[in-house]
Amino acid sequence: MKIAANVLVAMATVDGRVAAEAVAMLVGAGDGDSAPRFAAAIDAERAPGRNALVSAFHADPAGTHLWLVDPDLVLPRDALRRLLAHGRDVVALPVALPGATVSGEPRFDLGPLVGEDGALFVHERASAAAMLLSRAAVDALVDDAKRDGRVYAADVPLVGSDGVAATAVHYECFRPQARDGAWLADDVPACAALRRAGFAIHVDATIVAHRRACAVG
Amino acid sequence: MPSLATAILTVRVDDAPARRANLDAALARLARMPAIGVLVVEQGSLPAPASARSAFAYNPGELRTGWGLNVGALAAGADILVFGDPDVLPPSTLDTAVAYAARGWALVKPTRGRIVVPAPEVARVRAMGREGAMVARSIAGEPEDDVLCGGWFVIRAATFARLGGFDERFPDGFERLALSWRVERLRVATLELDDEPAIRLAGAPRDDDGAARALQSSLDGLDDDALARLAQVQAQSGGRRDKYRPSPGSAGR
Repeated sequence: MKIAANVLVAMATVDGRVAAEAVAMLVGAGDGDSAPRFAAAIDAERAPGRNALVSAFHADPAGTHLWLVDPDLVLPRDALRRLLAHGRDVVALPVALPGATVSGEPRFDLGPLVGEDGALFVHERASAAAMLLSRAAVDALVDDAKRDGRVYAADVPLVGSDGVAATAVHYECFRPQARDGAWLADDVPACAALRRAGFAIHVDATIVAHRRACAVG
Repeated sequence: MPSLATAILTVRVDDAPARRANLDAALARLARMPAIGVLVVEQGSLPAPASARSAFAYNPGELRTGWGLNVGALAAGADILVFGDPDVLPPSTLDTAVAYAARGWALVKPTRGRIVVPAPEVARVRAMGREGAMVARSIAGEPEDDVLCGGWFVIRAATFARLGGFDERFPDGFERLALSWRVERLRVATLELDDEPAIRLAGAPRDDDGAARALQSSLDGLDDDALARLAQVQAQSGGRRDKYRPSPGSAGR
């Protein structure tokens, strides 16, 4: 099935390294004229890199979807096509946290389950390690940052396909924070902002993602 | 005598009178099985007075059977779970099935086939219990096929978790079909007792729901890795009692 989409596959890396499996997945992700573009931001912290990627995508009106993917994630080659086929503004995958439960089962980086939507689950929060965002969803994140004054100048190196360029102004959409005595990962407030803007956080639990440790750097 | 297992039922507080009567009949029958404790998960926006050990789960919408049973499984905290349907008489072989599970069987189905009691006979059968079922059987004829995880069945909690619990995406009885399918795909050792059929006091669940069928067919394409991942995610996320309670920023797009 061909899907009319202009997708930017965006990886926030800490040292510019990307797993070979991630590259292989990218090569297989397109279907002819809808091959995705690619961008990698390089920063010692994940959140500024993600913000650089969001800002670059936001500045290019041609893009229809932003797919945030961690560079150490190994995914099936048809993952992007399957995510797009859902036709939702926000779709993420279950990504396991480091370690496991006492029983040896993986623990997934997901917030509480709040509903279902056909074959998809709806969670309060999902990991941005592999999250597809529509243009409308990205715009909502950027608008939320603007309203709060979370706009800053930064110089985060960004490499990518032709036409993908770093911007001088970044929107702080992803920001780890401490609240009520707890530390919250950078995707927690981002998902909260999306929900406030009316976007459900969908999760496709049938796409299997694994981390490949050596690519993290 | 401490319970070996916990039987879980889920109902809505505003269920129709006939269904409440079926629930009362099921509870009365279970009360005669001391090896089995009972937990009723009541769905609704207000809790009803408890008729048995009960857990309230907020759900202002339609009955979500799979979710309610998952809530009960978490609340039960038992090694052996008995899942029931208030519209199906608890079979007399239920405690035998529990005993087999206690000896290590992962899943035990206490009945083979089912009889759907004709509507005019329901009140009489309900009042008479199994003896009334003999009457119904003489009218309804031979049992029809039943879904493995339909009606009543016994399962070890660890197995239930490995399967990911009931798939909460499926409504209207399809969650039982989906679980039966997973039992087969994940090759769970199953024992079926064939002494008696299940006796259903209300019409069989719908079997022609297009959305549920489409969802079921989407599962057919999953390889073992994807199926295992789905089960792991559902084991982590399922059975959340406050799932349908509104929270700030509830969204639908």
